[in-house]
This record gives sequence, C-alpha cells and structure tokens, in this order.
Amino acid sequence: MLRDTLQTLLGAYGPTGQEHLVADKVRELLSGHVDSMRTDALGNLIVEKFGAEENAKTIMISAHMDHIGLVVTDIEKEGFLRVHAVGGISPRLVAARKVVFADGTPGIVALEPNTKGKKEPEMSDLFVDIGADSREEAEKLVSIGDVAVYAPDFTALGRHKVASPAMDNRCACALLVELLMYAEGQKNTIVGVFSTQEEVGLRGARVAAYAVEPDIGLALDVTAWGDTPQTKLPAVKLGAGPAVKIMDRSMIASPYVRDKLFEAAQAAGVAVQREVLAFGGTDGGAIQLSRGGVPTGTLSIPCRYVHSANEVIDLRDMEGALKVLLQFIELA
Amino acid sequence: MRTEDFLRDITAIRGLSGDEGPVADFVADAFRPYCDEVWVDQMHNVIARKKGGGPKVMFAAHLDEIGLMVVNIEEDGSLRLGQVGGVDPRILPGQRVWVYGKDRLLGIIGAKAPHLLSAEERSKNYQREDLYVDLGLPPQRVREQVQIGDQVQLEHRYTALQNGRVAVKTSDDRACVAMMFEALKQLQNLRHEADLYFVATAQEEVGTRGAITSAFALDPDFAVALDVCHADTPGAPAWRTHKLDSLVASMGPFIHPVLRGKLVEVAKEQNISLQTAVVPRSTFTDADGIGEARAGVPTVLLELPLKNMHTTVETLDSKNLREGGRLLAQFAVAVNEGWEDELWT
Repeated sequence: MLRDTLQTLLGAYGPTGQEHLVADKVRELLSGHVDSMRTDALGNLIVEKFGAEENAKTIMISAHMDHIGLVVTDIEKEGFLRVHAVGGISPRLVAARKVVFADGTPGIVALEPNTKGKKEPEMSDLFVDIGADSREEAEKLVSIGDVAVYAPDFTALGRHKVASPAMDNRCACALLVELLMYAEGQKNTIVGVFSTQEEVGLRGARVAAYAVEPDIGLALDVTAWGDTPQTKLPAVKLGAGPAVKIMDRSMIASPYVRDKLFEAAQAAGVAVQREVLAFGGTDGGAIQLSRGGVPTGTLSIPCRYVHSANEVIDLRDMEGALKVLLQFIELA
Repeated sequence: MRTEDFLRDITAIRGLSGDEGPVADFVADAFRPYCDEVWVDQMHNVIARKKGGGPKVMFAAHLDEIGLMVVNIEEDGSLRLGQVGGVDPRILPGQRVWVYGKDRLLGIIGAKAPHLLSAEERSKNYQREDLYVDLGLPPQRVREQVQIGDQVQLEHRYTALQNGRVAVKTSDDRACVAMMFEALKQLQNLRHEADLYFVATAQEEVGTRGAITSAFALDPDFAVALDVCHADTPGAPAWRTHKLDSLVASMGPFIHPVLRGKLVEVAKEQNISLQTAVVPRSTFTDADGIGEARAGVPTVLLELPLKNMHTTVETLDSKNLREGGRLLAQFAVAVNEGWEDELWT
C-alpha cells in the first residue's frame, strides 16, 4: 500500500551523497516486480520495466532519494559539533530540532544566543549537542564529514494528511515504487530512476539521463503550497490533486509532456492543479537538457513547509498521482 | 524579403521561452529558400544547414522572447503575473498585452492609481506582484477563458525612427536572427568551404538552454554566438555600454581569443566597424552553453548594441544590423580547414 511504502522509505537514512540505504529499501520493495535494477557511479538506482509494444518509447521517471542535512565541519573542545548545510536546509527551520547520524547517534540542534541582533540566524550560529562532555568523547561518536538529517518522525494529521521529515522527496520515491509495482503489460518502457544529489544541483538525474537516453522525461517531486493564511503562491492546495508543472527555475515543461499529463489526468478522472513556481527546480530540469534535449515534464505532490522537519502532504494527492501516472505511461 | 521586413514580422510572433513553436515555424519558413535543409528540433531550436565539406560552424541567435505568465486569478477576474525571463516591472503599468487563454485576448496592465498609494508605496517602483492584467471580462468569463500558466505577451509595435533607427520589442535577440537571415541572403552569391549551421535557439532567456542541447546535437568545430548588448544611454556606466552604430566583438575568458582574432581580421578586411567589450566572467549568452558542449567548442560572441533592453522599445541601428549580416557571411567564407591547427598556436 502507498502509505506503507511511504512510511518505509521515510524511515531510511539518506542525506545527499549517501543515498544507498534508501536504494536498498527500494530494491527490497521492487524485487520480483521489474525487469532489471542497477546502481550507477553516482549511486542512482536505475530500474527498468519493459514496454509491451515493439515501438515502445523509453520514459525516464525520476524521483530523488536524497534528503537535506547537516555536515559536521568542526568539533568544539566542549564536545559540541559545528555544521554546514548539505542542500537547502535553513538555520531558522533546523534550530531546536532533533537530528540523527548514519549509525543512529542522535543530536539536538541548538542556537547560540542572538547577541548581534540578526534577523535570521546563520549556520555559524548553530551547533549540535550530542551529549558529549568533551571533544574526545564526541570524536568516539562522530567524525568531521559525518552528516546528520532530521530524525524520522511520521505523524498522521487529520484524516488525509501526514507530516514527516524527508517527505521531499521520499513521497515521490514511494509513488515511483508503486507505479513500477502496479504497471503490468504497459505500452511504453519505464526506466525508473531513484536519483541522488538532487538537492545540490540535480546531479544524479543529469548523469542518469545521459546514460538512459530517454525519449521522454518525467520528474516526480514535491512542490510548494499556497493554501496557508498568508501564502498565496503557487496557487496550489493540498488535497486538490497532484500538480502538473508549467514552469519553475530549472525548467519550462515541454508542451508535449505537460499536455499528456493533463490528458492522462482526464482519462484517469483525477483533478489536477496547474503549477507555476517562481523558485526551485526538479530533476526535470536536468533531464530536459540531456544530450540533444528530451521532452520533459514534472508531476508534483503539493507539500507544506518544504525543507522543514514537518513536511506535510495529503495522501489523496498521492493516490491521484498514481492513477495519473498509470495513464501517462500508456498515453505518452 | 527585406531584412527590415523580416525584423518587423518576426518580432510580432509569439514565442515565449519554452513554447517557441510559432516563431520557430516562421524562422524555418524564412530560412528554407536559402539553405540545403532546415528542421525544428524538440526544444524548438531551428537549425538551418548550408552544406560544405569543411569545418562545421555553428551560428546561434536566440528566438525566444521574455514575457509574463498567469500565476493566479483574483476573485474579481484580475490576472496576477509571473515572469518568463527577466521582465522589468517598471515598464509594465499601462502596457497592452495579449493573453493566450482559450482565445487570444487583449488586456491591459493596470496598477493602483497614484492617488491611492501610501507615501511609502509612492516612493518605490511598482513590483510585478502589485500589477495585474484586466481583460474587462466578468470573473466567471475570465475563468472560462484563462488558466494558471497561460502566457501573456507584450504588445508589438514596430516604430521606424529617423536615421534608420528602429524601436521594437524582442529585438533581443530576434534582431540577431535577422542578422543571420541577412547573412544567408548574402551567402547565396558567395562560395564557402565550411559546413554552416544557422541555429535560432530556444530558451536563452531562462538559461541558454536551447544552445546547450543544439550544440550537443550538432557537435560543431567552431561557433559564433550572436546577442545584443547595451548601447550608450544617458546616465549609464560608460564601460558597460557601446556605440549604437557599430558591432561589438566581446573578449574574456569565455571567448576563444584566436577565433576572435579571426573575426576581427575579417572585419578589418571588409572594412566593417567593430568595438570591443570586456566580459570578465560568464557572458550570459548562448556562447556559454555552446562553449561547454561535449568536449568544448571554440566560441566567439558578436554583439549588436541596443538601447532600452528588455523593454518594448528596444532600439537598434538597422544599418548596423545589415553590417552584422555581412560580417557573418564573410566570416563563413573565410573559415577553412587550416583553422583548427591555428587555434592554440
């Protein structure tokens, strides 16, 4: 089930650059459901499910596995860790949060007193408290270069919504897993790419697209929200259906793919929203510019409080997205 | 077709970045009589080939235009705007625009009247977020016609000023597409050894994207990127601007120095006036995207000075535009097999 798959993937440790534990979970879930699985030099997990037709197109569908985090840059003599951002993690949102390292070592992110009258804290104003009393004690638990991520914390909110860290972008990974499980005898070949390093510049998807050489590209990712009191843009609401991206900073969706997504939604009887995002990007931007260019679009899951420890989505949007995708792989 | 007429017509056609289909078709049709083959690729790049047995040369000028996009529809039917490429919000109030909903609809961009602004608001320029398109329709009709993501194009008005000066929207960079058109016409009476590709690129305004993919696909030996630069304007910093009536050969780390020398040499032989611009870092033109394609492409940047960039009255000197076409044609003629060995010696 979508919800179980989601919960499984949300629990895996996988900061940008160290996504292999997420990939392991995906491999387990997809075992027996696909034609091939391989891992490339950047850690992308590339999964194929062949199309039934002789002239099948190759559709690359990408969902990034990596999660923003904090990398240890120094250890103070008192045992506190200094950190730097891996991806777009904001000091304001990470302060006072619980984080966890690869081996399960927990830490609390603390904020230095604001003595300089700054409006926004900077990374240098933060430190991580792992309970060590000295540098020596801390070094037994953590080394410079280790990366911490928001500690897993899955919370059901109301009837349809769930909150968790790493919803960006494990919800899309879950969607892609389910698509690859449910697609049976579909017309086109699906190459599912569970990509790495999206949060630092779409790096995994860029090399995967070069290797896969798809006819059509599609990224699955979260998008921002416009349905809280003072946030109006993008004009996207949770629970009103997945969003078809028109454009963001990384990509203007290829008209062909964008329109096929609308067509697929209509065929599936699923309401979709139209997303124009003034910032941000997805793997789609890298796929579209691969080699001589690939017609590419993005299907988004609306998500509140993106890059915080409580990223909220609506499971109905996920279910709708799965239905749209099952149609899309036939129509594209 | 006269090159001036080409410029007048091409600047009117819709082709916002990412959806350049209509303008790409226009360019393909206009170039076809002068080329051996012309095609439009999946990014809407137009590629026009004039065959030769020598080195492969790519000329690139972008055909996309900056514009606006509907990002929200207010309760009263006003359309809120996002941008496609860098549109200067200061020029928007009072503009007439075309909204590409189910039908093409004429609208105006309105703003809160000066009488209704607070003292603080009055001291600031309008921001795009404060502006809206008014179609005159009741809200229900607006919703039937227009959706989020629909394109909004600034209205086209071609103004022939005195002295061969022309003011028209989207001279950036379709004036340089016109320059390629002029070069193609002149090449009909010239012999060239090089295998020539004239590429009208897509999505330059959002990150030289069409140049990246077309340069990969064509894999040229050399490239000439064509774009506009700033002409002298009262009050502008002098080192950033150039005379309106002379072409500019840029130099800097992104520009191949020997290939640039070749371009300057051709200009000298042909008695074509050239200025120099120093671009210390990224050029923010197609030259960047082409230069880094595959294993790297020696690339130069030829620029046409323009006043009032990214407004609807982008002003150029049409004689300068024709001279640019002549320079491109003569450069194409000059390219020969020996160049590849000379580039780093």
